[in-house]
Amino acid sequence: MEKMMTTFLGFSRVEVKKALQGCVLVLVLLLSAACESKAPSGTDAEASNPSGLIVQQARAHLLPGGQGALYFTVESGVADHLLRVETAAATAAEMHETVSENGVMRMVAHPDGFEVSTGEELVFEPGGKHVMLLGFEVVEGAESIALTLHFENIGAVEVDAELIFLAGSAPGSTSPSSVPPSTGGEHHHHGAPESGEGQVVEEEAAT
Amino acid sequence: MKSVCRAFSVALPVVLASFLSLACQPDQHWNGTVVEPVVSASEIAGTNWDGTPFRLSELGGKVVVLSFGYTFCPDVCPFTLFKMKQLLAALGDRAEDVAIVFVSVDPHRDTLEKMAAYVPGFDPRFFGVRLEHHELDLVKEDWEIIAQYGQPRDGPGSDSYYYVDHTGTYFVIDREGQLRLEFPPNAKAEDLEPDILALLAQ
Repeated sequence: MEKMMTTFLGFSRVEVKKALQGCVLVLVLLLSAACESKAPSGTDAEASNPSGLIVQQARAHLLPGGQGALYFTVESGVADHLLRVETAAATAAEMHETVSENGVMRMVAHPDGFEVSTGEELVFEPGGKHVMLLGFEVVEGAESIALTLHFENIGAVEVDAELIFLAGSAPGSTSPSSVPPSTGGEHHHHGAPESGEGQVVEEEAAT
Repeated sequence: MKSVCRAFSVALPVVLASFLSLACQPDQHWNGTVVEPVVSASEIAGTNWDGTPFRLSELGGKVVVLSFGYTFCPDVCPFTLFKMKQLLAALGDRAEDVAIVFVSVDPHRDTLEKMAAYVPGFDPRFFGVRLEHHELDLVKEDWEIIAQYGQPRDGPGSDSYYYVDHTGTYFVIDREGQLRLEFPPNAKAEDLEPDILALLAQ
């Protein structure tokens, strides 16, 4: 009897205990990873990864003539650097910042991107930082475009940006580029990439 | 003598009362920066996006919100026009007494065709004014507008993209053609709305 209590399949009680603890730990990790990749709908606006970097409120202003501007906010638990932004919907995407001096508006190019400081939001918004788009073309009826934000540390993060037609949705407007109101976009997921890169999640953006 | 005193004793309080009531009128609170002294808005003469001649002085007694920009601008200018759209929507019926005027500082790229493809898309009631170079020079002088052309990406003389540093101020002109208020370019439609309504009421 004693022999049975101290061994199990030839392993000692201590060894079995450690094995069980290890299994529990693995299970917990697996569950938390699974939970992270299935973000609940309440956080639809976010693209996130294990370093806590979140991209929110991604939106694209489309203008007649093939120009546009991208806006979003980035927050990260770990310091990082936004290197560049890419989208298949435009031939060029460049980061700029509008600065105002004594009422004069200037556009300053930022080819080296922007720092993301821990705990501080990096905000791209009209009248401030923005990604200028050239040769912007979207499929008729599209409600969003896919962006890839490249960060120095966590790598590529994919985000869906809601399309907003600044012209063409005004009352009394006769522009043919009017887009029907969004009925709420789809929510796509990508599998987790190889280790070393940030988790890639495609998210819808809030306005 | 008695009648003079009596007349005086009636007239004086009336005069004093009127003076006091005028002096004690609460000052109109303006969100925008008040232009002092009030000046007549200088003329802007060019061509509207629809090909018709444009004269700032001939807008038929409307309150005018005037801004300068260019169609290649990806951020500030389109957002300005978007805010003007919001402003007109908020004004409702009163919008018909308000003129939104957008003047291009980039006549080289902003042809009438380009203005016609850009401005009415926001709202066909907007004026999108193209000035010939000499007309723009006059306006820059009269209005003290800055418009500085950046270096084209592909070198001088090319049409490749360049920015134009420009005055982003919103100028508000009353129904008598007087320049009354200025707003910074980050002003919201809701900042302008009460001031516009106050000018409409005057």
